[in-house]
Amino acid sequence: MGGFLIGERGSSVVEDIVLFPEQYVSQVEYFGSPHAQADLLRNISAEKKRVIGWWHSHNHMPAFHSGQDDRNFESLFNSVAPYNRIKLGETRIPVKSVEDVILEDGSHGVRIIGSAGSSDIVLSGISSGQFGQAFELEEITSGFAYSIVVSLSKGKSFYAEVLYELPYTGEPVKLRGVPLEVITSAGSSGGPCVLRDALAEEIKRKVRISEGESEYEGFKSESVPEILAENNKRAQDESSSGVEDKLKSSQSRFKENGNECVESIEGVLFSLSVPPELLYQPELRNGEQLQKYSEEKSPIDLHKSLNQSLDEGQLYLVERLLRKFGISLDNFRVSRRRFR
Amino acid sequence: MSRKKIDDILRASTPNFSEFEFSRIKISETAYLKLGMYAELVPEILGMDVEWAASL
Repeated sequence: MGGFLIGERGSSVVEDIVLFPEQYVSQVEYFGSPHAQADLLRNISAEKKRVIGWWHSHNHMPAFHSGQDDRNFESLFNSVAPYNRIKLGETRIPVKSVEDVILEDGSHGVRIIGSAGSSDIVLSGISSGQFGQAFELEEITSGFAYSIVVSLSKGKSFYAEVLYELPYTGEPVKLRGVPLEVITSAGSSGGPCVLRDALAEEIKRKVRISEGESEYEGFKSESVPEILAENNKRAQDESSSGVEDKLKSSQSRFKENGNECVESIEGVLFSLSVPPELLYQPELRNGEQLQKYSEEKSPIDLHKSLNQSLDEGQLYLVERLLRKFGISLDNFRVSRRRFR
Repeated sequence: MSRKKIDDILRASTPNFSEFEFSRIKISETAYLKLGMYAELVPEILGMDVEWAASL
């Protein structure tokens, strides 16, 4: 028997757990209906929650990860890690210098010379005095997923694993035998309210014993990849539209106030129309392929996004993102754009 | 970049960073209790408490 671990966006805390809605359980495995799981995922998303992991019970088998558990966990990680990013820290790297320059077309602008190996950025229509204390802000983030196994073997026991991405490289790292740290709600009196009878009714409603595979053969014939693709597309659309709104509001503030930083790196990521899954496809980590992918599949054109007004904070993040994919800002004619 | 290097960067850049984020899983008390209770209830309700484990 199993289900999802649920958390808040941007948080790594397991706030709640849910039971898969329609599952058949045998002595050694369980299988849930993909369609029922898709409905569950939609409901979780509608409540502004996130799936941050997976749990299952081993009944009287010791708590550990079998080979099948490993495969299931890795599959879940690939699905949810792009959306479960948390900030681990940040670095502030001073910009080496900002100097006034006259551009080829005779207009005035500035050249920003970065540090830590970043390339120069040339902006037109602004002066160095507008920068104040310039620095490069580097957020350190990571995508992750959890797996928890609960067993009744020799008393109740838990076993947990974490899969997370190494910052910068995105390489997945697996931590085995990770301890659980129970968070007690501050100010609650009498402890949490978990109604045993309600859970029992839920199990009766959702879980069936399977004597063999015949009961769930039908489920296995459903097209799981298609359902996952549909869910991923929905999640991507949802994320893109949300950040689009955020970006628009950020741009309107820019027009009023002059220099204002973007609210989050994510906003820039999506303004560039880089779908989150792109960051997890090594074959697309190449400038030419990224551009092709963006032009063909992305709802927002990469050039169009870059031709919109960006302040220097946004621009740095754009530049950093492009550099990640081996693209130079010069390819996008940033120096020829005029800022208000 | 090695994990140690990243840990070093994190510790150097964030003064309050004392423990790696994923060295443990933080779970609410409610979720933890539900997890244990689900596991206990399944054998009781579905009658799976049979001596099959010995054959594994």
